Amino acid sequence: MTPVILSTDIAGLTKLTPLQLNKIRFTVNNTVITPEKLRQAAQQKMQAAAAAVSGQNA
Amino acid sequence: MFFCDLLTALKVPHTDAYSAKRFMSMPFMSMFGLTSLLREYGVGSQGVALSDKTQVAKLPTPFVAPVKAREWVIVTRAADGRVDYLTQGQLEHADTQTFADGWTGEALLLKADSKSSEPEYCRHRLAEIMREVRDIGIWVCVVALGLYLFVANGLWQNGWAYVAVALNIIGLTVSYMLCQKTVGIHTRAADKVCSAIQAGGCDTVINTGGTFLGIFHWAEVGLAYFSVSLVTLLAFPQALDWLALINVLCLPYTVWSVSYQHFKAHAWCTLCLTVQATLWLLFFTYMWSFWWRTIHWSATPFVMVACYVAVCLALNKLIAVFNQNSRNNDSSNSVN
Repeated sequence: MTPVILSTDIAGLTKLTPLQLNKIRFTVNNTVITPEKLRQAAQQKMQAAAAAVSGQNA
Repeated sequence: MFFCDLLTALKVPHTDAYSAKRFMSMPFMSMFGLTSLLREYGVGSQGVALSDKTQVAKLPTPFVAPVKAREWVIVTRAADGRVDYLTQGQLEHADTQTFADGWTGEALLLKADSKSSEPEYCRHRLAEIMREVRDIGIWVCVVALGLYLFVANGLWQNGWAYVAVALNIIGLTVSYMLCQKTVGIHTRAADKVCSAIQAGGCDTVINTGGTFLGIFHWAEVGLAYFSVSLVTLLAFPQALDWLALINVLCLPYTVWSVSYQHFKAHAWCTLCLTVQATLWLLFFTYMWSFWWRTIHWSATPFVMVACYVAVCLALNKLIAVFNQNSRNNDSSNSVN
């Protein structure tokens, strides 16, 4: 088995531990991730972050 | 299938049946579980996180990238401001910024070599070939028997019989696709047909469509109708007049279904509409061929109705058993 050799010139790259890897879960469904869905996911993240900030300010 | 797509991208020899089964039975449905599974295939992996996600092009491809909640894609190429990725077997493209916005920044980097392969690949491949031969054998036998009956019963002399047989085969195929969707099996062919009028319309209608007499899905009724009609048409062409009459009795269903899709589900199911169009085309075929002018009262209609009911009941029972098995598998996965 060939190990993965990480390039050293990528800034901000960190290795994940087995515990961190186990937290990245997968659900089997049949959703095709189109670029449009990627944009929607980004918007949802931004809205959630904005809501969290406004909650802290309140 | 995600795992098979990943092995294909890595050019690792594998069989779809075994690999899909192994992936679905992973003790941990997580990136850690995937790492352990890939080790069985001789594929090295390393989980990483990238703080500046626009640097995605610097990561070696292919790699697994989680996007959204619990959904992963396989990045096959990232260069020139564009990211190519596989999702549900489809190749999609996004500009780097769009991809970075939707991506979590985590990735599973992979490394396969010439020794990487599915465990016991040769044995699994042989079994896969045998299954393919078996499937081809079934089709050859069914087609040969159908052709024999078509010729032996003199249907080949009647032009309308060709149309009726073709329409029943179309109805049978579409009903089969609908049945698959009812039990949660998604195929690319069915999804492609479904998206012809409205993407996701079939699933919306199926999920809200209710049942006939409380237990029968309409797809099962359709499958029973077209299968019995096709067998009757080929094996007992003397019952054609009764087939025509039973077809007329089915037509009110088409009006109900279209109304349901328009007014209640607010979605159009291409597969359902195809079944309804097929029923009407069969009606015109029977009408123009004057098959219902020869109706003679006999026990035939009662035997035919018994056949429709028996097949419908059997399908309902089979699908219920299949659903129960699927639920058991899902619950065992979710426990993990």
